[in-house]
This record gives sequence, C-alpha cells and structure tokens, in this order.
Amino acid sequence: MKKLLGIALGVLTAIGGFVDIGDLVTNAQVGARFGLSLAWVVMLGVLGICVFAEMSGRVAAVSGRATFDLVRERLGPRMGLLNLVGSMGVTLLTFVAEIGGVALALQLVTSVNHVLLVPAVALLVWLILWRGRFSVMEDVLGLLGLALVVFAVALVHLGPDWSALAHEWLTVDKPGEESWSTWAFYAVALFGAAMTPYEVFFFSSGGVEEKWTAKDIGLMRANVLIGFPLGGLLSLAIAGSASVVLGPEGITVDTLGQVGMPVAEAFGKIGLAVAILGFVAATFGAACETGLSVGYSVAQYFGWQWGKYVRPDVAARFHLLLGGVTLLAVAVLVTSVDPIMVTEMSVVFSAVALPLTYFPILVVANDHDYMGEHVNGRLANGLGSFYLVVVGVAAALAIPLMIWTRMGA
Amino acid sequence: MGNRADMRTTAPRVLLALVLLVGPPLLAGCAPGTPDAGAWRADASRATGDVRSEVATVGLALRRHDDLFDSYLQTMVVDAEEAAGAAAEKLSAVQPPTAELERHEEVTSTLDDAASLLSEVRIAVVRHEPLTPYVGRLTATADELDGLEQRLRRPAG
Repeated sequence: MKKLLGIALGVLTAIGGFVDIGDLVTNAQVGARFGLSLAWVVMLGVLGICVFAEMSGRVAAVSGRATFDLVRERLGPRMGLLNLVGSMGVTLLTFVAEIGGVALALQLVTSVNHVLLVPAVALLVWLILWRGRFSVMEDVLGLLGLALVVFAVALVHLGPDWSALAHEWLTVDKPGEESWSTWAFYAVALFGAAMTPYEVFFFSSGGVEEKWTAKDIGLMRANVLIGFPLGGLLSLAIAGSASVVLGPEGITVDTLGQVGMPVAEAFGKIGLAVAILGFVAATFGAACETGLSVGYSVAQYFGWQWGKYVRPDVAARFHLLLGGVTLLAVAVLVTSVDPIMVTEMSVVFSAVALPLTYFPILVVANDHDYMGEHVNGRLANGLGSFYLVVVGVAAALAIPLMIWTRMGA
Repeated sequence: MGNRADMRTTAPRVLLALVLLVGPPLLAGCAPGTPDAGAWRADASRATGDVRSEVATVGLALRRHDDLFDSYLQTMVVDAEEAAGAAAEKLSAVQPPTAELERHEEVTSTLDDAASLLSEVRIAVVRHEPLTPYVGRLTATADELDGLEQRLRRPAG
C-alpha cells in the first residue's frame, strides 16, 4: 500500500510539475493561432522527454551520480564544457522566465506591477533553495500544479466541436492566413518547450538527492511514463481551450491574463482562482527546479559538493552560485524586460541546445562500465537515435526560423 | 611588416577606401530609411493585427467582466493598452513610401484611435464605471481594424 501511494504521489507530482511558463505561454499562443494543428509536436516532444528522462533517471539510479558528473568524466572536459555552456545558458534563461512568470501570475491577483514583485518572488525562491527540503518542495509545488487540470475540465465544459478539433489534430490543418514558416517556427518552439533541457538535469540530480538505487527504477519509470504524458495532456488542454475561446476572437496571446480567459469563460471567478493557483505553483515550482538545475550543472561539472541533501555550509559554492543566479535573474527582470518575451526566447534557444544536452546522455546510458546490466536496450537506443535526428533538425531550424518569421509575428 | 615609406603611401588609400565603404551607410543612417511599399504594408498589417488582438482581448474581458477579479481585469486592460500603444508608436516611426502615404495616415490614425479607446476603458475600469457601453465600441473597432488589416495585404490603388 505504501509503495502504491509512493507511485501515486510520484506520478501526481510529475503531472503537476510538467507544465512551466514556457508550456503555458507557447501552448496558448499556438492554440489561439493554429488550433490543434501542432498537437502532434507536443506528443512528439513528450515522448522525447520520456525517452531521455528515463535514461538519465536510470543513470542516476544505477551509478548514484548525476548527468554532468558523468558527461565530463566519460566525454572529457571539452565536450562537458560545451554541454554545460549550452544547457546551462538555456536553463538560466528559463530560470529568469519562471521568476518573471510567478511575478506575472501574482500581478493578476494584486494588480501590482510585476517588476515590483520580482525581488520578493526571487527572495522566496532563494529561501526555498537554501532552506527548503527537497521532497517538500517537489511534492507540495507539484501537487499544487495539478490545479492546472482546470484547463482540461474547462475544455470539456466549453463543449467544443470535438470533430473539428480532431480534424485539426489529425490532418495538421493549418489556418489559411498563417504561413508555413510561422507554423514551423511554432512547431520548433513547442518542441523546445516540451523537451527543455532542465527537466532531465533536475530529474537525474533529484534522483541522486533522493538516493535512488537500481531498486527505484520501476518507480522512476512510472513517474516518467505515466506522469509526463499526463502532464503533456495538460499542455494540450491549454492549447485546446485557447483554440476554442481565443482563436475565434482573433486574439494572439502575449500575456498570462489571456491564457486564463478560457477558464474564466467556463467557470467564472472560482475557476479563475484555481487557474491562477496553478500558474503560481507551476512557475514557482519550475523556478526552483531551474535554479537548482543551474547550480547542479555547474557544481557537477567542476566537481564541487552540491545538493540539498548536504548542509549549505558543506556545499557553500553551490549555494553561493544559487544566490548569484537569483540576483542575476532579478537584475535582468527589473530592467522591465517582458517576461513573456524572455519565455519565447528561452523555448527557442532550448531547441538550439537540445543536441548538446541529449547526445551525452545517450552515450553515458550506453556505457557498460557505469550501467552494467541496466545499459540501454534496443528500444531505448532506437528511440534515442531517432530523437537525436529530430533534435538536430529542430536545433538547426530554430534560429533561421526565428529571424525569418520575426519571432513568429 | 612594411617600412615607414610604404605606410605613408598606403595609409591614405586605406583611409579613402574606409571612407568610401563606411561613409554612405553611416550617412544613410542619419536619415530615416524608407522601406519599399511591400515592407511597409507588412509592418502596417502586423501592427494593425497586433492592435486588433489587444482590442479583441479587452472586448472579451469586458463581456466576461463579472467572471474576472478586478485586479485581473485591470491587469489585462493595462497590458493591452501598453501593447497597443507600443505597436502604434512603432509603426508611426516607420517612414512611409510615397505610394502608401495616404494609407499611412489612415492606419496611424485608426491605431491611435484604438489606443485611445483602450485608455478610456482603462480609466473606466479603474474608476469602476459601467463597462457595458464600451463593449459595442470595442467590437466595432476590432471589426474596423480587421477590415484594414485585410486591405493592407493588397497594394494601394
């Protein structure tokens, strides 16, 4: 019974923790402009993140060491540094976007300008990174993130033309007035949002924090293979509800307030309160995860003591770094840069960094010395190789499409 | 390394080449560049679409204002007003090509009117005034912007 509860809790927190500011904004933008014609990209991205999260979780469970730790050792400092710079740069950008996202969500209930809220939000994030217990942070914020299920319920309640939605989904039916280049840009952005690198760093480092062993592989797989796809359904529900409510009005999404409108239309103030709770939990949880991921990746590369399972004074450099990146995020956001724009940039650059993140994981998961009998099988290698081609194409297209379409304008 | 005499004869030539290469673009940078008619239409159409989206957002928010918290509605309206103002201002800074001068007047004036309407709505929302009268005006403005956006996809004349 206890084991079953553990699996249920893991799956629920994986669902609630799946969506972040990038998923919220990008899915709503795509839903409003393209309906469900890009739903296949979300599905492709969710399967991809499942493949690599399972691999990195397995590596952590078997070796007791996290991704960057092994990447540098297995592929050498140069490849490790390339991996670090690409992935950490994107994760840092995502961290800035998530803190901005929390401030934007709080602005919706306080009407205080988000720039004024940023220092308080950042202080709270830093306090949790410094003092909060890892399991409490992950479980509480993950469970509160489940409030976003309100988007799925709202979609059903709104009573859309399901056959029209299914037609868009299955026929990849792009609206006539949109260009294929813009459609392709958003496909890459959605893919980047679904496969954002920090998720695997956080997942594998979290496994080390929670002292996974080979016995925990089953639980880890349940979290990934059930939790992540259900989290992906939340992304599709956000896109679907935006398609039903915002699409017919010709609204292009550029604020978090617009993202919540379908829920307000379906359930009024009560539904909206639940959605805002979901926004805050999802972005706050992701801010903690991305902040930690920056610290994890740097500390693991340089061989510093890291993690929340050791006292802060033992992992002083790790905690100093967390404080430093939090200050950096505040410095960026108080310039009045639009957090939504930072989010859009982060998902595009996430697509660019994907090969740097996922290629080393595939190599390490194939190393018998680390993995023993748990080395990648044919299925994992087949899927991993397929996804390396896909992420390579997405990475190559991301910047040219961003310039060509002027960020999908 | 060349000797000093070589440098004396080469240096003015290099300077002249640099002036010829860099001068015209720098001088051109002093005056606003004039986009061709197609590029201006694309910019104008994008700005009109952006403002239309903001007007439609506020229209939707006002229709559902009983379902929104005051702070939520205020934030949405302020965001829309700022975004519409920025889009209108950005387009007004673009030098219109001669063939599109007439439409430039029409577009900038329509965008300014839409931004002013959003400012009126923001004042009404913050002052808790009745909002129903604005719904019709917002719908009409969104329709007008939609028509203008469609027309901007074709050359003038």
